[in-house]
Parts: sequence; structure tokens; C-alpha cells
Amino acid sequence: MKRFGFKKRQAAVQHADLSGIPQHFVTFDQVCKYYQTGDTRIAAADHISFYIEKGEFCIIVGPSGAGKTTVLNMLGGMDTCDEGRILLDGSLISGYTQNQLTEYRRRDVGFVFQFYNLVQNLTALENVELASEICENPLPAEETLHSVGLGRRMGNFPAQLSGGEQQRVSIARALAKNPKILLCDEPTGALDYKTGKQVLALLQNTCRTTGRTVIVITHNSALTAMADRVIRINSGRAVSNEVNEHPTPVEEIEW
Amino acid sequence: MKKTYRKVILRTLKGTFSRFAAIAAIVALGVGLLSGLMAMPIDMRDTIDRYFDRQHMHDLRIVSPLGLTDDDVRAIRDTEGVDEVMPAYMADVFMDAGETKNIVTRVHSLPSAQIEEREPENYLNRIDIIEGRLPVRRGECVVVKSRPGAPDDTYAIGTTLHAAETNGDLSDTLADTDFKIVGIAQTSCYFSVARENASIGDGTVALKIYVGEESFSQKAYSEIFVSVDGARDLSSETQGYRTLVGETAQRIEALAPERCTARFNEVKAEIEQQLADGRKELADARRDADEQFADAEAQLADGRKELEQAEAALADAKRQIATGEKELAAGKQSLPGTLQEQSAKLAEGKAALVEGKQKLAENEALLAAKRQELADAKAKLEAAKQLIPALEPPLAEAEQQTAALGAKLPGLRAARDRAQADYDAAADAADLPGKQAAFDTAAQREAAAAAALQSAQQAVADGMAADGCATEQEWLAQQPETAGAALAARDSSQLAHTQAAAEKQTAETELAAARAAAAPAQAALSAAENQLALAEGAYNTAAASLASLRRQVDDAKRMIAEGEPQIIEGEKQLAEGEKQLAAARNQLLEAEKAIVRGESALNLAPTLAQLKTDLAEQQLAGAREKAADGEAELRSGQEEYEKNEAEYLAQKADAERQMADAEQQLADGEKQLAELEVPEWFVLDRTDHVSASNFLSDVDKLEAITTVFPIFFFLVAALVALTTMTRMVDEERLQIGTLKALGYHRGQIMFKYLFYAWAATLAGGVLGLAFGFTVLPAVIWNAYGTMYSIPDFRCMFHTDIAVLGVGAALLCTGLATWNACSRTLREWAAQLLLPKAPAAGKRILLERITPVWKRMKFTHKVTARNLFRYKKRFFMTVIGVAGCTSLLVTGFGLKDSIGDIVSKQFSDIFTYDFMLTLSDDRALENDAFRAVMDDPGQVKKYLPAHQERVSLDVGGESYDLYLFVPQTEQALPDFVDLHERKTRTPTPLVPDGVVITEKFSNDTGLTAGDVLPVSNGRHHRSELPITGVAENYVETYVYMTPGTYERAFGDVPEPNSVLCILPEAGADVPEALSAALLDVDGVAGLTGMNAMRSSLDDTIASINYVVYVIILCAGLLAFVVLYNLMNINVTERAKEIATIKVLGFYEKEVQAYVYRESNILSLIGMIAGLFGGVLLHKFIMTTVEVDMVMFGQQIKPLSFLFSAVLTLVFAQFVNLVMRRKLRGISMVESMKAPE
Repeated sequence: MKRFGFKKRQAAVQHADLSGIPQHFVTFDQVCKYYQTGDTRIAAADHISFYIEKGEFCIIVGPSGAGKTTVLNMLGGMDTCDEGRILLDGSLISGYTQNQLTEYRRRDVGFVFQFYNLVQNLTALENVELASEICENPLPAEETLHSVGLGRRMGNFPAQLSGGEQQRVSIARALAKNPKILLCDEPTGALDYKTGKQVLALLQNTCRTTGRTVIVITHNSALTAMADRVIRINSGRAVSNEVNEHPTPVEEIEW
Repeated sequence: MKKTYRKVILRTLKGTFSRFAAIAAIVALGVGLLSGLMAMPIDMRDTIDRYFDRQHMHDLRIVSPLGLTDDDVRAIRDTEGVDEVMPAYMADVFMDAGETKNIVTRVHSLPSAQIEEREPENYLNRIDIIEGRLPVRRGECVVVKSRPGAPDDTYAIGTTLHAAETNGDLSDTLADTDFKIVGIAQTSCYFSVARENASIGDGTVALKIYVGEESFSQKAYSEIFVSVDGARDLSSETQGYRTLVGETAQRIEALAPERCTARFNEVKAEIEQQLADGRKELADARRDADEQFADAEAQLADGRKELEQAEAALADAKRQIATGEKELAAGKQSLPGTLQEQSAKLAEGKAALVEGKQKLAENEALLAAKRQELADAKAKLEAAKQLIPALEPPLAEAEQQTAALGAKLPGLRAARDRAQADYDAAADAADLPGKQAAFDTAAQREAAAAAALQSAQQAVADGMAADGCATEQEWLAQQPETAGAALAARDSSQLAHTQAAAEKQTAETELAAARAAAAPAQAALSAAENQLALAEGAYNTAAASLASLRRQVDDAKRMIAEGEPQIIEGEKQLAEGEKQLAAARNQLLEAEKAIVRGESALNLAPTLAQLKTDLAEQQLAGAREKAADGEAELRSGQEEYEKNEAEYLAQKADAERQMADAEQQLADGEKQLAELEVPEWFVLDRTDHVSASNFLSDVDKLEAITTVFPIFFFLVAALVALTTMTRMVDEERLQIGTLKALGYHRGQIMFKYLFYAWAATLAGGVLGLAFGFTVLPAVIWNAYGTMYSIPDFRCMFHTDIAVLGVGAALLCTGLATWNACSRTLREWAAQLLLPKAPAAGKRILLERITPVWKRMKFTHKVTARNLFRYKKRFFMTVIGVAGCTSLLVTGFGLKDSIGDIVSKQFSDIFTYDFMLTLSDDRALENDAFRAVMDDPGQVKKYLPAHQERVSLDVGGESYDLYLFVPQTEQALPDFVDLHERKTRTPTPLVPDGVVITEKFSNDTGLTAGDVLPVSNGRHHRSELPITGVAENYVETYVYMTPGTYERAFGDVPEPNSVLCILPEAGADVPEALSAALLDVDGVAGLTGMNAMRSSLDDTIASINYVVYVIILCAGLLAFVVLYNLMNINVTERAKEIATIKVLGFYEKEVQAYVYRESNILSLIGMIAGLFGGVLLHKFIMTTVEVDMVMFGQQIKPLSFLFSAVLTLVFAQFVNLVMRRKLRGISMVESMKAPE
């Protein structure tokens, strides 16, 4: 039944009228996501709407259980929404089939995990290559590793790297795919304060130098100062969507 | 235990059900196989024991060569430990059932009295009637069901069995000869397709029947069945049973010497009595006969004397008659004989006369012709003589004339020569030749000038024409130079011509003048020549006529010279002929006269002679009559005498024969008496029956296999438990740390994992026991069901096996769990609370080979590193998959090895199409037999052979085998292909050596070059060298040449079978052919190889069940192991898989990423398994091998292929199942913290 419903939605999408929606780089339009647990239906995303412009360093912030990860999953093409529309660069992500979603993840999305998620049996370089191997226009893996400052640790296995280094490999892996957006899920969550700052600096730099849209999801509101755009989420809704005209460099932020 | 902790354990169990199931499943397999295979022999023995008990089967059976008596029965009954005793009769005879002739039948007796009293259970070896009823009156029987499965129409109820004529006199054995089948029975004595050995026919029992004991006429019992007190309560394969029965047997054996001596004395006395009676009878008879013969001989002598006298008288009379006859004959001969002769001579003379006259006439005619000829010749001669004088005058005249003419010729010739000279002078004077030459020159010159003129004129004409001028003037005017030149040339040539013409004229005139001057001389020459020619012509004519005349005269003269002597000779001959003719005429005249005289003499002679002979004949007739009377008398006397004599001789011969027979009988009896030995008692147990012994040895073999398979499965079970529990402990590291930190003991924590493992083990164990104690025995029993018909198989629960199996499984999994936990549990809580440092990626050897490594994809690199990282999993999977493949190879190999032997034996080795068994080798000489066998349209070739079933003792073991002796060893290769299996080199039969079959060689260790101790059925022993070992699968044969047999045993091998080849190879034996052959006296049976093949095929088909069970087990093994591996891999690497999903790997790529590892392990395991399978197959083949049959050791390449493919199919099936699980891994997993 689920499958069937999904197909029906897909059919609807083909005739979707996109004209009424303002053209932003990323658009969430009345997106809902429900989880059924027994008799109760919990809305992880409850008609959430926001947008992000191209090249912005955006931070989505909210307390635990606010629906941040749900948003991330849907935007990253790992999950589908039950209602509403999600657009990226003019494409209707919410209408994609499983296969289209896989391709979307492969092509357009770079993912940075909280726990790095490196393949333990591959060296740093190989981990990056693992991603670049499946892309159409990958950035050179070694170059990417150099750019994240790991030029000399390329041959090491993840277990031989520190957390910060592993996270940088993870970022390099995401960047090597040359994605449209870089999605980061609590990138500093498993790191100490200092290393966390370095990683955030790296992300901010990447955004500034490459003009890539970077979306960071965190529960730490202290980080919002460094963002171009801050979207606050609570109880499955976007509470605010502010543009920060003067983002603070990460080095100056304290938390 | 705390309640909460228990909850934790239960939840873990729920949460990781597939892992739990994997342990349970492999344990179930191991325990199931172990319990099933261990229970099977027990169940089988138990079933057979119950069957034996229910049938009241004897524990002991006593047989003795001299039979057994009621005294024996009593003695045995009184023996301690003996419960019931039942004496019985038994005989092997040939029976006919309708078209089927000479069935080797074992006839057993049933205790009718007890059956009639409706107490059918009160006897030993009771039979189960499965159709029809028991025999209640004489001439009825029940047959033992021959094969499990389909009923046999030949022995259906209502059929009558008739004792075959082949048996000869059966009156000492059976009282009845016809038995109607009234029932079909099952008995615990005969329940196998394997046949008992028989003393007749082909040596095996084809049919077993039971008849009422009154149908037997034997004096002594054939066997005594005994049941032992208390033995029924014991299982028949237990030591207790053996001991109990063995003790009783010993006690019975202890009776034997006394009883045997008694029986010996009894039989001896009986025989001696018989002998004494016989001797007395014989003596009496001889005395009577002698007296009678003496009388008869005296009478005969008298008769002979009378006859002799009569003969003498008769001879006298005959002599007289003979004399008379001779005289008469002489007289007769002198007259009518001469008369006839003379008249014949006369006739001859007349004929000669006529002939002579004819000849005379012919000669006269001839003479006349000759005379005429002579006259003609004379006339011719005369004419010639007259011709000569007539010719002489013209001849003279011609000669003169010629001479005259010839004389004139020289003058004329001179005149001509003169005239010629005159002419020549005249010509010279006139210079005729010069004039002629001058004229010729002038004429030539004139011709040349004319030609020049003509050409000049032509040139002028041409020039004018060319310039188109009509006249010369015009031309001259127009072309003055050219024209002028041309015209001038013409004019000059005209002038020249005119001049030449004139010169010619002059020359001509001069020539004419010269000719005129020479003319008179020329005329004179011509005249002279004419005269000469005339004269020459006349002379020639005259000369020719002269020559012709001379020739005529010469011819005539020659004719006269030749003809005259001829005529003289002819006249002489003529005169001679006339003289002869005259003499002949005289002779003829004489002869005519003689004939006339002879004729008149002949006319008188007969009358005279007749008178004489008539008289003599009358006298003779009287004498003859007398003699005839005498002779008739004599003849009748002689006849009578001869009759008496013949009668006497016949009676005497008869009496002598009777006495000789009696003497032979006496001699036989004496020999028997002499050979009579004190008999032995053979006290036999149940395994003396082929059915029971085969069954029990099959059970033993089954037991041998049971040890291999389960060990294997238990090893895999331990490995599965080890990997699973290791993984689990790793996963729950944090929980363990927490529990430790909370203050739980190591034991308490360990308990969780032990509990988990043991719960799975117990669950699996119960499942396995359920399967092992029910399904497995049923399947195997089913397989044996094609060979044995034993009712009421019961699968039992065996507590000991259950405890052993489950206990072993608990031990395995327990040890594995302890091994998995102990290291982790030794760590400090603080360490445990930290996430375990992920096992560092390691570089592997392969990376050092840079060119290879560089070319590998990253996903492949991960696989390669993983393979070497988890060694336990590696071994578990490889061993498991290898086991699966090995089992498959073994299973298919079983089919190959066993399935092939039928076709190999009955197509490649035994190349004949059917075999006849003979009860009498005289059948080979039978006309009807020869008519069929020698017809190449029916039987292509045949070879009589002697086959003998013997037991040979080699190295302390007894081997039942066939001695095979073909009638001629040269013909054998067409019927039996003797060759070595591996090299396929033929092993031909050679004198004074034997060829043995392969299995026998393997079992005894004897091979070519060794010496085989052999004995034949008459217990003649010998030792023969082995010259070859031949490929053979079914039965054991020792082949030898007839010469070898004869030299070895001193017996002549009598053919008792005939191997035959049909015109169409491999065809069924046509009905008509088999009917015709079986009709022949002395042909006991016919076995078609096709029928043989199909019946063996049935037996071998049972192996399929075993193969299916093995394939099933193999599949389960592969599934469990691979599923477990995948399960662990997938759960362990869920996060990694989720991550690569997030990275955008397609589903196929994700699957490949995960499956590659298990695929490679499967491949390694499969290859290892192919080798392992060969070993396992070999082990099983040697274990299950039956005495009678040698299995092939080969596994076909196709079987390896099947095994490999099937293994991979199993692996792919697991992949298919795991696909769901892979899909189920949510990408959200990737967000989770590491455990």
C-alpha cells in the first residue's frame, strides 16, 4: 500500500505547478512527516516551510526532538515526506522515486556525519575515493584531502586518526563528490571544543571559498552567530528564518 | 536472578532472533543427524527383533546330514534352557508353475495339527498370511512373498505348482506333487530380496513355499527349530541374547555326539538290515534261477539232438534230388540249349550272308566305276597321241617362215642407216641448225621491239589521259616537255620494231630455203624406216605362232608320258578286284548251302529231346515233394527250439539283470555303509538365514556411517556458535561494561550469553531430535524397504541418544560462548564503557602486490581486507560450504558408483543376452535344443559352461563364490569380457591358472602371481596360480579352463548353464524362444540379462532416497552457515551499509559490496568441498560395500559440476533471502552513535 501511495504521488508531481513558489535554492513548502507508533501518530515535521539561498552558510538549530534530523533526512534524500514539497535548485525532490533519490544523493548531496562514518577497512584516501568513485565529476581525492589539511595522513586507516582528523576525512569525502549542497549533521557533536571549532572553520571556509551551500544542523544555538542564515525549528515547525547580515567568524564564537 | 536482568536477556533474545535461529538450526541439523543416524540401527534392530518375536522365530536350528528323529526331538526338549521344539521337513525341489519351469523351490513343512486345532500361534516360525489363507489340506501351499512391492503374477493365489520332471523320483521326499497356492505369506525367515543358497539348480532359492507336513514322505526330520527360554525378552542383537542362546546351543551341541552315534547306529543298522535282506533275497533268487535254467537247458539239449537227426535225413534227400536235378539239367542243356544255340547261329549265318551279298554288290559297283575311269583315261591318252602327228607339219612350216623373215631384216636395217646418213649430210649442207637459230634470234628481237613499242604507246596514252587531252597536239601544247619526250620515245621504238620485223622476215626466208634443200634426203629416210618396220612386224608374228605350236606339242607329249603307267597300274588293280570278287561270290554260295543244311537239321531235333526230359522230371518231382515235407517238419522243430531258447535267454538275462541290479544296490548300500560317517549336528542361529544376516550386516554398515556425518555438523555448529556469540559480545560491550559498573558478577554476565546460546541449542536440539527420531529413520527405512519386507517399523525415542546429542551440542556451544565472552569479561568496566576501538584496518599481503591492488576497486579492497580480518567467520563459512559441497559430491558420487555397476556388469562385462540353466547336460544333445540353438536367426552363439557355487577359505575368511568353467576357453571372450579395470588389458584364461574377480582380490589380498587354494563342490581340493584379476561388480567368480578344472579336481566339469547371444544385441528374449528352450528336457531355467538388469536397477534405485537426504542436509548446512555469516556481517556493518547508501550507492552496488565476501568464501569452500567430497565418498563407499557387490570408485565429472553448481545455487538463495534484510537497513542508522 505504501508503495502504491508513493507512485500516486509521483504521478501528481509531474503536473505540479511550480510557478506559485518563489525561486529559492532550497525550498521546504508545507512539508509534513508522520511516524506511526501504535495508535498515536507523531508529526516529526508539521507543515514546515523555509528556504535557503545558494551559497549560504545556513544553520538549522533546535532542541532535541524538534525535527532537525527529519528535515535533514528529507533534504538529504534519505527519507521521503508525507505531505508538501521539497525543492532543490528547481527540482522537486519530494517527487523522486527511490532510484532518483539514490542518484540525487550520489550527485547532489555531500553528507558529513556526526560520527564520521568512515569505512574502517579503507585508508583515508580510499575512503574519499570510495565516494568519488561513483560520481560523474568528482574532485581529485588527494587534492580534497590536501584542502582539508590531511595531505600527510592519506595512507592512514581511520583508527589511526584522531576524531577531528576523521571528521575532516568525512568532509573531504563529502566535498570530493562535488555536490550542490553540503549537509552536516552535528559535525562537532563527537568532537572536543577546539577540534569542533576547527571543523566548523573548515566548513565556513569551504562555503566562502567555493561558494557551495553548506547546511549545518545542530542543537547548539551558540553557533548561529557564524551563519548567513539561521532557521530555528521547534516541534516540527520552522519558528524563524533569519538572515544574519554580519556573521561572526567562528574563532570569535564561544560556547 | 534479578527480574530485570531476566527481562534484558529475553529482550536480547527477541531482538536477535535470526542469530538465535542460526544457532538453533545448525544445532538442529547436527543433533538431528546424530540422533537419527544413531537411532536408526537401534530402531532397525528393534524392529527386526520384534518381528522375530512376534513370529516366534526360532533361536536355534539344528540340522544333521542323516536327518533327525523323534528321539532327537525328545532329547533336545529335555535340554535345559530349551523352551519350544519343533521338528520340520524341508526340501529343495524344482517346481513348474504354468509356463515357468524348473523354479528352484524350497518346500517347508507346517505343523498342520496345530493349525487345524486353530492354534496357529503355538508353533515356531509362524507365518503371516497377507493374502488368502493357510493350507488346510494336502495339495495346498502358501508362497512366501518374493519381493517387497508389486505382487508377482507367477505365484498368484490359485496357481498350481507341480513338481518338475527334472527332479526324478521324489517319492522319498514328497508325498504330493501338486500344490495349489492358497495364500501369500510373510515370514521372518525370508524377508530379503537376496536369495538363500540352494543345493540344486543355479544354487539359489527362487521360491519358498510352506505345505502341510503330511505332504512330506521323508523318514527323518530335516531340521529341528528350537526357541530358548527367556530369549524372547532379550533383543536379538544384544550380548545377553547371544550369551543365553549360545549357552543353550552349547548344551544342545553337547547332546550331539551321543545322539549322532545313536542316529548313526540306527541308520547303519537299517542299511545293514536292508543289505542282509537284499543279499539273502539275491541268493534265493540266484538259486531258483539256477535250477530253472538247468531244466530248461536240458530240454533244449534234447530238442537240439532231434533236430540234428532230422537235419541229417533231410540233407540226404536233398543230396539225391540235387544229383537228379543235375542230370536232368545236363540233359536239357544238351538239347534245347544246342538247338537254340544253333538256330541262333543259323540266324547269325543268314544275317552274315545277306551282309556278304550286299558287300559283294557294293564291291562290284565299285569295280565297274573303276573300269569306267580307266577307259576314260585311255581315251584321253589316245587323243593326245593322235594330236602330235597332226601338229608336226604346221610346226615345220612355221619354222621355215620365221627363218626366212629373219633373214630379210639385216638388209633393211642397213638401208635405213644409209638413208639416215644421207639426210644428216643434207641437213649439214643446208646449215639447217644455224638457220633455225638465226630465225629464232630474229623472232625474239622482233617480239621485244613490239613490246617496247606497245609500252611507249601506252605511256603516251596514259600521259594524255592524265592531262585530259584528246589529241597528241593538244597534249603537246599543254605539256610540251613531257609530251615531247613521250612522243619521241614512242616514235623511236616504232622505228626499232619495224627494223626487227624486217630482220625476222629475212631469217625466215633463209630457213625455208635450207629446209627445202634437205627435204629429198628426209623423204628417203622415211621410206627406209617404213620398210624396216613392216619387215619386223611380219617376223614377230611368225615367231609367236611358232612358239604356240611348240607348246601344244610339248603338252601332248608330257600327257602321254604320265598317263601310260597310270593306266597300266589301273588295269592291274582291276584285275585283282575281279579276282577277289569272284572268290567272295564262291564263299557266299558255300554259306547259302550251309544254311539250308542247318535249317533242315534244326527242324528235327526238339521232339527227340522232349521225350528224354519228361521222364527225368517226373522222377525228380517225387523226390522233391518228399524233401519238402521233411524240411517243413525240420523248420517247425527248429522254430520251436529257437523260441524256447530265446525265452530261456531272455529269462536268464532278465534274471541276471535283476540280480546285477540287486548286486549294484547291495554294492551301493555297502558303499553307503562304508562311507557312512557319524553325523554331526549343526546348531545354527538366526543369522544362518541370508535375510537375517544380510539385514543385520546392513545395519552394521549404517552404524559405521553414523559416526562421520554428525561430527562434521557438530564442528560447524561450534563454529557458528562461536562467531555468533563473539559478535554478540562485541555488540553488547557497552551493556557488559554498564552491568559490570553496576556491580554484576562476571558469572552473571556470562550467564546471559550462555543462556542465550544454550536456549538456542536446546531449541535446535529438540527440533533436531524430533526430526532425527522420526523423519530420518522413516526415509532410510523406506530405502531399505526395496530390499527387505519387514512389517511394523517403529521409530523410538532414545533418551540416551537424545541426552548425548543435545549434551554434545550444549558442550560445543557452551565452549564457543565461553571462548567468545571470557576475554571481554576480563576487561575493566571502565575500558568496556568506552567504545571498543574499532578493529584497525590492516594492510594485507595482497597490497604488497601493487599492480594487482592498484587495479582493484575500493569495494573489492574492502572485501579483501574483510576476508582476512574475521578468521572465525572465514573458517566457519569455508568449512560449512565445503561440507555442503562434499556432501553433494558424495551424494551424486553414490549414484555414479552404484548406478553404473549394473550397466557395467550386464552390458560391458557379461556380454551375453541370456543364460540357460541345465538340470541335465544331455539337453545339449537334444534335437529340439539343437534345432533352436543352432538356428542363427534365433540364437547367434552359445557357450555351455559349468558354474558351481562354492565356499573358499582364504586367510581364515570364508568367501562364497562361483567357479566358472566355460566349455571352451577360446569362445569365452564373446560372452564374458575379462579385463583389468584400470588398464583394460584383457586377462585371458590360460591352462593351469585361474582368473579371479576384482573384489575378491581386494578382499583377500590375492593378486596375479599368487596361489589360490580352491575346492570344488565335491570337496576336492587344489591350489592354482592366479593369472589375472578381472573387472567385475556383481558376485564373485573364479574362472578356469575345463582342462584346469579336470586336472585340479579330477572331475570333469559338466555344463550346467549355457550363455547365449541373440542375433540382435541387447534385445529381450523372445517369448517363443524361451518357451521352446524351456520345453526341452534338462533345461531348468532361463535368465534374460535385461530382466536381471531391471531387477537390480530397482534395488539400486533405493540409493536415491539416501541421495535426496544428503542433498537436503547439504542445502541446510550451506544455508545455515551462509545465512549466519551474512546475518552477522550485515548487522555488524549496518552503519557502514547505511553510510554507503547515503553516499548514493545503488541497491545492486550495495548488495555486491556485501555479497562479494560471502561469494568468495562460498567459492573457496566449494573448491575445498570438491576435494573433501572425494575423500568422504571413498570412505562411505568402502564402508557400505556389500559382500556380493563391488561399487565403482569413480565420480563422474558431471557430478562435480552438479555439486558445485548446487552449492552456488544455495549460496545465491541465501543472498536472495538477505536482500530483504539489506533493503531493511535504514539510512538513519548512519546517524546513530557507534556502539
